[in-house]
Amino acid sequence: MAQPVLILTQSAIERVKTLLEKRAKPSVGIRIGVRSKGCTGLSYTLEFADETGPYDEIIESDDVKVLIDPKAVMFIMGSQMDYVEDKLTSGFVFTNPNEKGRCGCGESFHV
Amino acid sequence: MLLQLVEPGKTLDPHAPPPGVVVGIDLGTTYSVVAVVKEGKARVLTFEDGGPLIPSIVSLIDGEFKVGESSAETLSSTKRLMGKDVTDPICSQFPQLLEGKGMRLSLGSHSLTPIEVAAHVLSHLRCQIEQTLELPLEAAVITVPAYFDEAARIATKQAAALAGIKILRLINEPTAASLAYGLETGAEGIYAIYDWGGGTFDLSLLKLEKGVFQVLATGGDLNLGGDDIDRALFNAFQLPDLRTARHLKECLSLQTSLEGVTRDDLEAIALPFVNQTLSITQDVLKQAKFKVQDIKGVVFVGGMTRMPLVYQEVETFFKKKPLCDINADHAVALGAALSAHSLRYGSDTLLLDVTPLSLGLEVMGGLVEKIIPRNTPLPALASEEFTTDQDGQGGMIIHVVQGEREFVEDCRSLARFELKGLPMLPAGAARIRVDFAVDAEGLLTVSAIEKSTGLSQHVEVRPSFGLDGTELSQMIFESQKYGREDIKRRLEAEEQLKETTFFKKEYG
Amino acid sequence: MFDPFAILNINKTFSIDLMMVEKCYFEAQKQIHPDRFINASSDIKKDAVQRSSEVNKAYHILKDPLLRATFLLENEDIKLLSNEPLFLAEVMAWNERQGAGEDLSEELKCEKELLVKELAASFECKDYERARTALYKLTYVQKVMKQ
Repeated sequence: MAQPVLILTQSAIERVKTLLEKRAKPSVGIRIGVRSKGCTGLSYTLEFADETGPYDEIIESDDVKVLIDPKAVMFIMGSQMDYVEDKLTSGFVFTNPNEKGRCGCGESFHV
Repeated sequence: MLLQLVEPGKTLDPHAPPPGVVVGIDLGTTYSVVAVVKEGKARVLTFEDGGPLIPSIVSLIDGEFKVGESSAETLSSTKRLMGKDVTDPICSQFPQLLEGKGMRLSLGSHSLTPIEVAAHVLSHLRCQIEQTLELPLEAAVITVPAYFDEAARIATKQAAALAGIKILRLINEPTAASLAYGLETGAEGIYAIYDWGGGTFDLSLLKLEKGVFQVLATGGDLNLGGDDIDRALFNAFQLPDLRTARHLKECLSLQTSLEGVTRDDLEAIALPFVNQTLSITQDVLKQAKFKVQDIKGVVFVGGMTRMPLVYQEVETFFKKKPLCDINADHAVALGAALSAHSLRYGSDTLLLDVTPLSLGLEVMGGLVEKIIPRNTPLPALASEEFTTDQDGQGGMIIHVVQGEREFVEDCRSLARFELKGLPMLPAGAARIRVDFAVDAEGLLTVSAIEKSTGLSQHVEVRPSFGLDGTELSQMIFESQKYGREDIKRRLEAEEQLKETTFFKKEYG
Repeated sequence: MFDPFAILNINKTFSIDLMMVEKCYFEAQKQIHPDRFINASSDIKKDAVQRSSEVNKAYHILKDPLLRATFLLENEDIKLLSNEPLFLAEVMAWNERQGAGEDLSEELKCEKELLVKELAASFECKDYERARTALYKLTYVQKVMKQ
């Protein structure tokens, strides 16, 4: 079996489900993209999706639909998306085997 | 870096500054008020637990510091001690002052400096702001009495630093009020801002013209506030406490008698204080070379202006009705918010302020040589050359003072340092240039250079910037206390504080 | 050399329009006041303090006829008068009358106005000797006025 583009951890799935339920509008799912901004070039975006784009890569994991922007596919290939939470902060994090470096502040990366 | 799931298109630029809010804070003697600009208009904030007027009172309840009215033991009106020395007469009004411990007030099992009290109030305000607006506080403009001296301004900056509030700028309370008044009403011309609060009186003359707020002259008294009238009332009628006195004073502005005390009784007590404010007003007019008829309007600011007697006397003095268009309690905070907004986001508005007090140096015979006279527009740079009075004099003490009096002992000592390693020259041959720089906030930097020979030494003392923590404030207070005997210790301490003082030696 | 006229971009003459000077002053401050550079680097801030204070100083000199005339004479390398016996008798008479409690403010104000006119006229025809004498008198009149 081919390796999936992206693996979601159980806590990521739960959190996405909760957030989708809380959102006022119905959603198709969530969309992951990349942007060429930040100090070393690229950073991920993570947004609710109102519709499916024609070239989006779609993965479904436990009823959660994740759309991946075609531009993001090659960067995200083989990553894991996790949700972490501690006393001070919470949010999603990607661990990416393709990544070669991160900028000092951890906001962007290059491959 | 953790990602949040957001609405489509709402992903923020990485590295963009976190979205925050800038506010104006009127850190008052009796109350503090916060205002913010929303949709181009300044508004005061009302918090869940009160406001817009938050009492500047700190108490200790179950081991935690609380801000607000309390039936427990409290510290209040401590703004009057900001930047003060333990020998200041105002200290006699604070029985909580601990003896022999510098400027520390007891509160339960703890002791606090006035800076720490202010920091508790500010940090309470910060929490309230962030909860109410649901945004982090990015920075603030904090107001100070125009007549605050260098030490009191530094103390205010330190309090903000302790509370974790970034200050965009300190601005003077009457200047802030004029901004609120001028932008609200579009007034142009020469205006007097009569600002009388719980602790201080300030009078500023401003020229308002097309977005420019130019302070022409300012004057005041830091020890002349509503608190002093409360105290006089408390003594005259043997009232149970000062709080009762203040309540009585406030009620007698609305009704003519209460609990056997009449408004006439209060006015007899208050009149000498009102006259003092008018004599300061007269002096400021004289300084600025203006006559009463040149003044287009008198803007009322501060709680004391609600007393009918004040209205009546000021009206008689200026021969016109004082302007009460803006809320006397809110004006300063509103102006501070407008200033914060324009500093942060840019605007055409320009504030041109002045030095409230003369800055000078000690010269022979304990006299003061004024380098920057009061009411000089800011920022200001000035320098003066001095020479030695003894053959082969190896050093020179530079003693920086603030105040209007002729003798050093009657002025406030700000900083004292020694210019060492002067070249061996006959008396009168060395040339020492002392430079004063006062920035737009009214904070001073002094430097001295010996330039008679190729050898030059440069010493710079910045009594103001980069200070934080109470240790530093303590150091300032102590150095002022022991200044004369303890220059050496102070110099050593200063050498360790690279941020506040640095010595550079240049040989060329 | 510090040139207040150049800083505020005003023609270098004694007779100037004070409203115009104020306008130029406000304009200059709107550009360079340190408040405009609150988020800038410390070098830029320092530069703003320096330039803004020079604008303040220039305005201070230009709006005061005595300081303005002093600058213009020094700019022409004319040495100012000092310790000249001339005019001292008048000054002493004023001092005496003032000492006796007489209010001279109106008289001195008139005298000052005359001297400022005299300064304007002498700068107009570049008669610096005349300007120097008028300035010398004005210095004393201002001194008596301050007492």
